[in-house]
Amino acid sequence: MNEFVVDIANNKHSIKFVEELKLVFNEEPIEIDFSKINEHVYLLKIEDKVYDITVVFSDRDKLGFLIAGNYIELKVKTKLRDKAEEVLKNKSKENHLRDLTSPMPGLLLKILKAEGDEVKLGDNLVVLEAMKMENNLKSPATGKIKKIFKKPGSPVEKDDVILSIE
Amino acid sequence: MFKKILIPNRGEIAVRIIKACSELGIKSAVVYSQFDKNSLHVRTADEAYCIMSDKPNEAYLNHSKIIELAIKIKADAIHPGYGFLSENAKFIESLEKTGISFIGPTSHSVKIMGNKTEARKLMSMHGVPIVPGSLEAVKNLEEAVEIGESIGYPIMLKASAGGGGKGMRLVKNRDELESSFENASNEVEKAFGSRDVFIEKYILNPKHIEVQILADQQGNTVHLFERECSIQRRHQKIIEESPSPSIDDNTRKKLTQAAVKAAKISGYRNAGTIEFLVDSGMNFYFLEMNTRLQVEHPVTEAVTGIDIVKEQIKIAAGNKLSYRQNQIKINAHALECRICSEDGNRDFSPSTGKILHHRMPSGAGIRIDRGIDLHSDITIYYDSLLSKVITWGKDRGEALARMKRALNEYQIAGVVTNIPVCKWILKHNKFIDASYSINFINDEFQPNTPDKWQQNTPEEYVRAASVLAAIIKRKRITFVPAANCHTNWSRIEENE
Repeated sequence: MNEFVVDIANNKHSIKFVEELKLVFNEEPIEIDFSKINEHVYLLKIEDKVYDITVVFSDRDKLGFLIAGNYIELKVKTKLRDKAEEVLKNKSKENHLRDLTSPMPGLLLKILKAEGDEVKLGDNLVVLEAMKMENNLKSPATGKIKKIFKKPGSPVEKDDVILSIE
Repeated sequence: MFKKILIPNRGEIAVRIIKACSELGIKSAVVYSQFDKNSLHVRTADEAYCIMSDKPNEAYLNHSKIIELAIKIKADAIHPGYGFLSENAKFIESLEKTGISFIGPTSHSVKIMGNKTEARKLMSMHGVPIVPGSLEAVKNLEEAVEIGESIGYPIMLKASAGGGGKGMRLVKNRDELESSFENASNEVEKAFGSRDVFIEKYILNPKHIEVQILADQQGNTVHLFERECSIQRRHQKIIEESPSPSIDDNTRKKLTQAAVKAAKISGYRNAGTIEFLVDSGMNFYFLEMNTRLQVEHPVTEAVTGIDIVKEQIKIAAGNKLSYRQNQIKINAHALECRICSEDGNRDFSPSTGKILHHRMPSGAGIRIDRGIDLHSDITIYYDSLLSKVITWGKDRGEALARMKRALNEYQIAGVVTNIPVCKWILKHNKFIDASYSINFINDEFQPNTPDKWQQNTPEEYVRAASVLAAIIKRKRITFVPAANCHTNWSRIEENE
């Protein structure tokens, strides 16, 4: 696999390897060199400049880099996979279910509504405590609460689904 | 002088105090919870004592266990740092009975100032201007509604007992009052053990400016000038500086005099900070007094050359202040950025993990106070502050240029940090010309999240990130046949 698509804040960039250290970035041919210092630090040379890049996190296709004080979060896929996902996405646009997910790890203090309750977009649904602060999680949609997956008092991880709305 | 100081705290402030002890030739001892066994304060202190509990805060909050330990290890003083027990009058009272010194004010001053409504009453009695609002704690929702009607919305709900923004809520209208009152009371109860909240009129777009004071047991009180602390998220400061670029010399004089007066009328001793709100007409209002060391004390240290923590220790040991007021001058300019494990794209929600890589900035005019090292665990149980970058320059421009350079150099892997947010703020016109207010983050930054604030990330970094991502991805899906074979990757088909 020599062709990749990188998604940064919904802008897609294409990278194609021509040779080991020669590639094309968005139509622009560039020469590179790189060293892996350790799992978390890479030196990347593009033309005449060396970038000292920190891998802040790495989670399957998702990567977070810190470069000279700039934090860049991205998704990287092979071009093949990116194309396949585009097709799938167009097919599943008819899905009306919306999930309320936890934006951060924390402790679920209260769930303010019950299954079957009607809710409006922006209603307070959940009180989450994290790093000693209480946070209100608001409804991402207008509809009816279909299912609540978590109990008050239980810890949640980031991106855990707390409840779903239809 | 003391022989051994026990520090019931963690993170960067525990480490800061340990360093002061070391310079004074005093042994330092810390406590820690089992969740903190990899933390830096545990590694740095002369002695470290684990207090086991399934509650992560217990090690830093359990009065009797901490005092028992202090007696057992023959500590002759306790430095509480900030947070935890630092403003707990009951703890200080218990300690006063043992003969072990508390490095901070008396329990009496903490009680007066710790109760925000009492402090407001005292200040208004002695002519220090306060923000209009309730002089007593608000008993219930009905009363809150009444006060809201009488002073007019928007109003602020605040904890009578605390600081640090805990329980603080802006209420724009009557409809928001009920849930805000409930949430604030709950949060306040959890943080401080008392549900009392009071109401203040919301001052439109003020600045937050505070004055550092030092007072000895002989009755001498001096100020160390002001700090500008308007850049805040969730009512917690991110960037501070000294001197304030927002006030003129006349206001500076009035502000520092009011601060010294506030300290004197409450019989204050040791280090303290008087916080003021300053409106666009340079009118200032007493907000509260923090009866402890502040997170942002290093900017004052940088411009005055005074080591505040060492002064605190000497004052508690009975020494007179080492400086007279006329010996204290502002030398040039200093800035501080608080580096927190928070994601600017997700409303500053905490990022947790393990510190896998940590390379700090260095060079002229830079100081780092840190609470982390490799393999420190960043959990949801504790504050998100990882370290503080302090820069000093001959003027604000140089301090600012140094801060930008420092943030460019700073590398942390394992958690998402607010370093890019700090950089964004430093480049903002309203920061550069100091025309911001305490609502800067809400008004200027939040509307640009998620992602929009990062849109002017220089194209070269976007390119470098994309290329490296492709390199890493390609390596993952390919097979390296031999350890010494770095460049001759033989490829296999993607099997995901």
